Amino acid sequence: LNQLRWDPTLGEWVTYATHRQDRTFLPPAEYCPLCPTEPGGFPTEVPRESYDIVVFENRFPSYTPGATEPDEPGAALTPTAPGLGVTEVVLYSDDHDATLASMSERRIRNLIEVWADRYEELGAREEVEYVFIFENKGEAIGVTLHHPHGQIYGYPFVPPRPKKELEAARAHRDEHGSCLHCDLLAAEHADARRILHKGEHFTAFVPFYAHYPYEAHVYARRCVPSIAVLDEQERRDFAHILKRLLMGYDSLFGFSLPYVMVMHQAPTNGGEYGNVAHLHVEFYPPNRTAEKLKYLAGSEVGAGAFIVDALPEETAATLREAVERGA
Amino acid sequence: VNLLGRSVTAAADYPIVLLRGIMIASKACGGIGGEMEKEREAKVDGRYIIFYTFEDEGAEATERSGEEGSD
Repeated sequence: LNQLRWDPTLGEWVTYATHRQDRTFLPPAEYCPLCPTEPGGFPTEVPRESYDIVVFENRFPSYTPGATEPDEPGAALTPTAPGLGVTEVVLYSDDHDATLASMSERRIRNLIEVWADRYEELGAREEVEYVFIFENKGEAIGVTLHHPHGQIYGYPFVPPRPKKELEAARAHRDEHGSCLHCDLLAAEHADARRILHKGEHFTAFVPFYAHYPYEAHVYARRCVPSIAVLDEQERRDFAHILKRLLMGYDSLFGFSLPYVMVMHQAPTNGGEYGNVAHLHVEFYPPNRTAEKLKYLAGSEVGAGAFIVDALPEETAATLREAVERGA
Repeated sequence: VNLLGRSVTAAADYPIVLLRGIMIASKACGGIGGEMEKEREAKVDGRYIIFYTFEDEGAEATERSGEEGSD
């Protein structure tokens, strides 16, 4: 069952995918469904003995091309809709114990090629309004499979958070005639206190308004709407800066740091926000210390107001040292 | 129709290739200076799976063994 229900109080869709209750949960490594299928072994999701990078449709999709009209018809105030779209899994490597941080820049560059290809292919589907590339890493995030992988959702709508960001960018352009993200990046460069690493074509920094202590954003220096239009040198530098930041995260507390990684780029719905999108990646590690996690509680969940107990300038200095140490 | 009222292709019309090992595309990759091969297959339950293979895989293996730098 994949269905959407409209929440008129927040003006957003909520997705129901009840079959996901039965998805595979933290299997032992020898029964990892994302590893290659060994000769004579149990069949995994990948029917080959080895692979480079693999993409497949999620067995437990949040959105699917085959979604039908919901049995629940809804009402004028609270309409429903089929959960149309795409839910893909991206396997970064056939090495079960690898992480994105441990992979070579060359492999990350290859992954960037795959991400760009998926953005173009899924974005061309008429029912897909927004291609969302992301990774959940670590049990603290709720990951159910440890094999290195990310996901891609092809949403049938522009999801609330990117939409809010795009609308802010559009308002900024209307008022100032410039790109919000370019202006933010220029301010971060000028201030320099929250910069983590400056590449030739990308910059990593803790934003002035970080919602998590060790949140980091990676911005394209050129004002590009999507990963698909990056040139060769930009893709190389993108891989380089992701590698540097990820190694810094692992060096921060001395263990492989959990995080949520998301990519924000232009919707594929025909240009509604196309001229204000600016490609960037956002990382949200849940750790506020080595032992303590940042939980979303009353103020964050119920009021939407984040309370952060560390200043971005302080955490950026610590994380910058880790990035330099991890290089 | 989708949420914006545009028509949507029925699920059965999606271009899922049903034969194992058919190359769908091979193109030059800006980021890796080589070629990316893309093979699409279908699982028995109808889901697609895409194998991306890169021309530089040999270099990748060398790199993994630590004989080459990160770039």
